[in-house]
Amino acid sequence: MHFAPDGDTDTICAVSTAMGYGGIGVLRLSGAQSLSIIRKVFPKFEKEKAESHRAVFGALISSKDKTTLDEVIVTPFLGGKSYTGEESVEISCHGSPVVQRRIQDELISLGARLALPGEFTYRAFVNGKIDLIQAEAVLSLIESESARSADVSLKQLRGGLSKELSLLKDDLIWVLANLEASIDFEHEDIDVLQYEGISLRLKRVQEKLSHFVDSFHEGKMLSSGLQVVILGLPNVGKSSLLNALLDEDRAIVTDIPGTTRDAVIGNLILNGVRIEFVDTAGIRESVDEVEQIGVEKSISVAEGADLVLYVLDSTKERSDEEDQLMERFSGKVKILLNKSDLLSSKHSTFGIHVSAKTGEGIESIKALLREEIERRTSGNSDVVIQSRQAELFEIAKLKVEKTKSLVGEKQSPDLIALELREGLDALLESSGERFDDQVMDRVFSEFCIGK
Amino acid sequence: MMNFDVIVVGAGHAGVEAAFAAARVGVRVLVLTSDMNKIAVMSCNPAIGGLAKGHMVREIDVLGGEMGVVTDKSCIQFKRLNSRKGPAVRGSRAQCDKEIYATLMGERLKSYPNVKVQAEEVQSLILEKDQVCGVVTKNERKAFAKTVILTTGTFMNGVMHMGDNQESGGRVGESATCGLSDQLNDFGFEVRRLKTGTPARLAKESINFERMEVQRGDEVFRPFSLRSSKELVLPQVVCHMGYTNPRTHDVIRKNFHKSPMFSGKIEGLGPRYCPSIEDKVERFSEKDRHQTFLEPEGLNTNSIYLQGISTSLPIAVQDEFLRTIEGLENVRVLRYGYAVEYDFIMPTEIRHTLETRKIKGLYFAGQINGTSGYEEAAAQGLMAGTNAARNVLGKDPFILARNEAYIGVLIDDLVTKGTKEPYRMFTSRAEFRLNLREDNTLERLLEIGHKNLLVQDVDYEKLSALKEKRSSLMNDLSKRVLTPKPQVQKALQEMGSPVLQKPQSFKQILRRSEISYLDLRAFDIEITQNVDVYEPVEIAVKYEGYISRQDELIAQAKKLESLELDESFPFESVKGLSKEEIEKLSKIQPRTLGQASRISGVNPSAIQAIMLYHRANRSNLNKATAH
Repeated sequence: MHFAPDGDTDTICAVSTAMGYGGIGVLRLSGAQSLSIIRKVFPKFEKEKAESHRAVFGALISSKDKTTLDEVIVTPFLGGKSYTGEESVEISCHGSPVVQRRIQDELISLGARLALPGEFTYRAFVNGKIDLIQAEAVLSLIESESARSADVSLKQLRGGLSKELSLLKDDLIWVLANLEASIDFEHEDIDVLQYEGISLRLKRVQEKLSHFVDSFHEGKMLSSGLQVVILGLPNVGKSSLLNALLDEDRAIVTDIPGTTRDAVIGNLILNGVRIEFVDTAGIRESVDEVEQIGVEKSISVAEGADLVLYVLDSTKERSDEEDQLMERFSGKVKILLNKSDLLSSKHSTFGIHVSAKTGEGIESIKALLREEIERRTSGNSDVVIQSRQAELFEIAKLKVEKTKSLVGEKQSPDLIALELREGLDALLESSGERFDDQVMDRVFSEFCIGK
Repeated sequence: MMNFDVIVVGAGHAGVEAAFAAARVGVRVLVLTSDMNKIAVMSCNPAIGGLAKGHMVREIDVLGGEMGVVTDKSCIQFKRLNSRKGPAVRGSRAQCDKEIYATLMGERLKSYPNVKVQAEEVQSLILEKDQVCGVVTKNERKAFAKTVILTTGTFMNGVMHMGDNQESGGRVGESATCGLSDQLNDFGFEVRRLKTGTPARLAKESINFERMEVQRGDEVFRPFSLRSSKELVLPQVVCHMGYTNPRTHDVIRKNFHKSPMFSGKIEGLGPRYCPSIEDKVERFSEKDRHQTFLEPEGLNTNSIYLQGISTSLPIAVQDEFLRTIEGLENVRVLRYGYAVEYDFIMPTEIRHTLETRKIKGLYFAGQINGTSGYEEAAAQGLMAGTNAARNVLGKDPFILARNEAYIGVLIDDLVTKGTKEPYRMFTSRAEFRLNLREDNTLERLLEIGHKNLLVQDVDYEKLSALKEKRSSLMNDLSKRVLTPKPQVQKALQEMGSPVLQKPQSFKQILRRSEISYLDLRAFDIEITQNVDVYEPVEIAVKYEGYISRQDELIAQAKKLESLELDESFPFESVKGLSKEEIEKLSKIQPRTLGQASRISGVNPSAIQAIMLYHRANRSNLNKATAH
């Protein structure tokens, strides 16, 4: 995607404050449609006229199901008197990433586009609101963003996303090659328009894209928090350790409304990110129950967690079984040696010495958790890039769905191709690639064509 | 010889349209051809048009060119391809009597006002530093002009291959042109090789057509030219379809080593869309047959063109494999197939005007730019001729955009991407295909053609009237309303269409897929029978949704196209470009940011960076002038 040159009228939006838990969050909307978009979700502006630079408090209502998204303060900036020099709106909402993302999704569904990194500033420059030196800064921002996105790509490469993406692109290019061959080589003796193969591939792509979009929406740590499981044999002091962690901070102990994970037994907010402590069977079972069953259940919960805190009783010898468990989660396990108050000498470097009773080591656990958050959120823009990617996946998904239905209707291949090209473009854009002559190359390699 | 404004070297399909166009713009043109009897020869297949190509012929026609008119007059079988597919991909194709085509075009050239034709082979260019000022012929005669258009076809260092045999030449019986490409090479042009092939021509009386499928043309003739009569001039012929079989493939496979393509004697790359039969057998070994069309080359000849079976195998092998084909058991070959290798200049060396960057006043058109096909050649000829003439007259360049014409797509592709194989136009090359239809050439090109002096006043008047009729029909259909009266509802029911719930405009009715324009006869509205009037309107109504979406995409693309870059744009000063990007951009020198974005290997982030740089420096410039 390029920044559009001046005269561009599309409306962009983004969360302007850092993602995470803060006091408030600010979303910015800029472009000719800003006011008309906000009117659709902010009923206050139906009664009173939106006045430039006047902040108005009210409820932000979803245009779809009429539920209240948040109580917000909306400030319009009209007549070019804004940061970008365009009609703009700022929405101050509560500082929850979940709320912010819902508002952002709402704005996008009403026709706004997610801003590219640096795009507000770019518009400010184009509209003469900032000078050349500041513009240079934007350029270096763009550069660093693309460097970072390369970083992200590399990460995703390891994660297999890019491999999956290239399979999807391959499928779509195959379909497009089929359609194009049936158009440009009508008189050739080739088996064109293999409807079955086309439908099959489109279905495959559509499912994968749905999965991508869902996983982006669900799985981002910044919106759903870091999931931590405390694991260990019964009676090593897991519950008391958890209480020590939560009590001291007077943390929210109830679930955040809207999350459906009933196993969450406590939340702690560190560095603006929510940490969910997840209950495991091992924690709930009493000593009298059959130990093995409890451990099994705990393991399956721990499999899905971001981090495992494994609690050992420092006064006892480690069993083989415990070693195996720690081994199993190596990579995401941190070891806590509880009941350190009962030890005479603490020379073990094996884990962190803690005592739920005296509070020793609790700060060390928090430091460890903060470190973990830092590590995982380094560069907030990963998330921005990824949500941009998610938006592109969403577009691709819609286009592929439409393509599929046109294929079902046996529409003319040129009209189907129009739809499909837009979908493929979105996918290629998500990975920063270009279209070039991939389709023709495929036609010539796949079909025997020749007059 | 005397002084001219434009010298056209070569009188093939590019050369003749170049001469016509320059002459229409109003300058004096000299055409030099090696052989006065070989003007506009159809050297390969006997057809004009086809998908995307037919579109170009119609574009050439609206811009005043002659290809469409002559095709209509020499047509011996007409077909509209993809007639059941969407409107944008329907393409007209006319099989022509080759001799009549060449004769008519030659007559036109020789009698065209402002054009002089002479039989001379050009040996070299006369240059003054980096400005062309004429040509020297083989007979050491000189001709002078401010501009020269080279349309050398396959003749520049042409070598013909047939088995082990190699012969210098551009076509059978015609010698190659040497010297020109050496001179260009010396001047620093990137001269490369391409290859193309042609199949055998068979004697009609030696073929058993009863063992083949008959292929007929369409019932309805739709002339390419809006200036032509709707009636066919010549009687129509039938073609036949046959197939190769495993025995054919065995013979070919056994003789692979004798093909110059496989033995490495040919270095040039051939077109992937037009592989030789050797290629097909090798690359698609799983297929046990390949189809071939047997097409008469004219009314007064017994020569049959064997479409799809181009080859450069030795004569004896050609005889052997041809006779394995059903119906060709006793075939007599009039002329054997061969491959020809020739020089072309990498078209990234030229501008959108088709003028070379290195030599002022020198233009290239046709196969010298790496293209293949009569229509591609003619289209470039028209553009080169126009621009050369405008250059002489000191007028602005004439450039068509990608959303205006296939001709625009063709030239932009060539100058932006270059080519590795002979470039042929396909509808899939046009990203705005839906708007580049055969039916709307008038709307796309009439005004711009007239403004650029390509359309003569008498034609302009006639064509404007037609265009006017279309828009008033559209207007009528939008304004006039059909009310749910009993007879209306009854008529709708008879057409299998839902009855009206409330009054609707005729345009809304026509949008229904089951109702055609002519069906509107059933209602109280005057119907025109003129297909040239109603068809474009009908298409515009039925596909309005798609077309307006495409219009949005065009509007978006225009933003990048409207940002112009000078030839001296300092890409090396733009922060954030890679070395490779700077190299490519500096070489291709894109005219606009849009073109820059189409250069392969230039990334989207580079486009952003250039845009920002451009903005920054423009505002600097503005400040400077303001103070």
